[in-house]
Amino acid sequence: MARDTSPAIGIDAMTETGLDAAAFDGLVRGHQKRLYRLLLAMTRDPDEADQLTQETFVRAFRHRDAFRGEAAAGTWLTRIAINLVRDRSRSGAWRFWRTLFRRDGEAAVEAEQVPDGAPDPERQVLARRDAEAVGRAVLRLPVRQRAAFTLRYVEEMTLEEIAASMGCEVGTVKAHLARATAAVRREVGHERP
Amino acid sequence: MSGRDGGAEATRGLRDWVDEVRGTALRDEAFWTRQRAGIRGRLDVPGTRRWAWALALGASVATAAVAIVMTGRGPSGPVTPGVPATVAVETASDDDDQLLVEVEIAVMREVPLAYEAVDFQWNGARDPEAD
Repeated sequence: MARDTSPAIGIDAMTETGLDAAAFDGLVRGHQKRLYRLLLAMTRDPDEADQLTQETFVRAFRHRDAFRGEAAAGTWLTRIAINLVRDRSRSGAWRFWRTLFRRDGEAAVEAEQVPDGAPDPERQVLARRDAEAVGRAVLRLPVRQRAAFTLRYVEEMTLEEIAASMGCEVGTVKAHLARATAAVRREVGHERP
Repeated sequence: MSGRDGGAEATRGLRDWVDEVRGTALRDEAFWTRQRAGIRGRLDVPGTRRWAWALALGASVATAAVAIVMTGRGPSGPVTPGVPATVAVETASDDDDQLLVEVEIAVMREVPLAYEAVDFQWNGARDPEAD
């Protein structure tokens, strides 16, 4: 469902001699929703995800000479996005502000998400609690594990696609997924009475 | 993610979390349009910077020229004792013209006057007139 079904638009939209504005716009249109969703899952912050999505395309354009065409443009963009999250996570200032505002932001998202007139309120509450526990666990994961987990479950990528996007071996992806899954399961288990 | 203790809850939680993320990621068209505009605004389109520099330099030179002319002329203009007013005005006008000519020459010059000697040393051999 979440797989990218947009037309294949290559990085050659960014010509070497100048910007083909229409072609680059097509590249952005073809990938912006998927990248935003991925970054939203990895940051759980709509503003942050928006900024990082923009930064991904800007960085892709600035470093377009580094793109050799060995991978799909989407894979390359995904790798840039993951690297941006990693760089941002290393920033002490970013961690500080995120920690400071996280609680309010979560409350706002939660308030938006609770549906009206739910048939089984108790089950809804439990389900929300589990989903929140998963979200919290995902945020606490190291960036590489978080990326693998998100690409697998939100983007429904194959192990090979994840490996290509992360620039690592399939075995490494499996290891990341195993650790991430165990951490998420632990978190949900702790939430249950 | 299923099986042992907590597995079913974790699976349900994962599914709900995925649905939540996907739901939150669904934005209206205005959001995507604004995002694309933001991206375009941050791109370094080739040549844009060069033009920006040229425009900034041109504006600076023009401002400097106007400032020099205005300062030289003064608020009421110098009055030389014993010289008719018309002559004084003509003299000031000549000075202004001369200044403007100098500014134009300076602007047209490829290398600032102070660096001409160095430029000749470095690039003199490539000067077509030197051949």
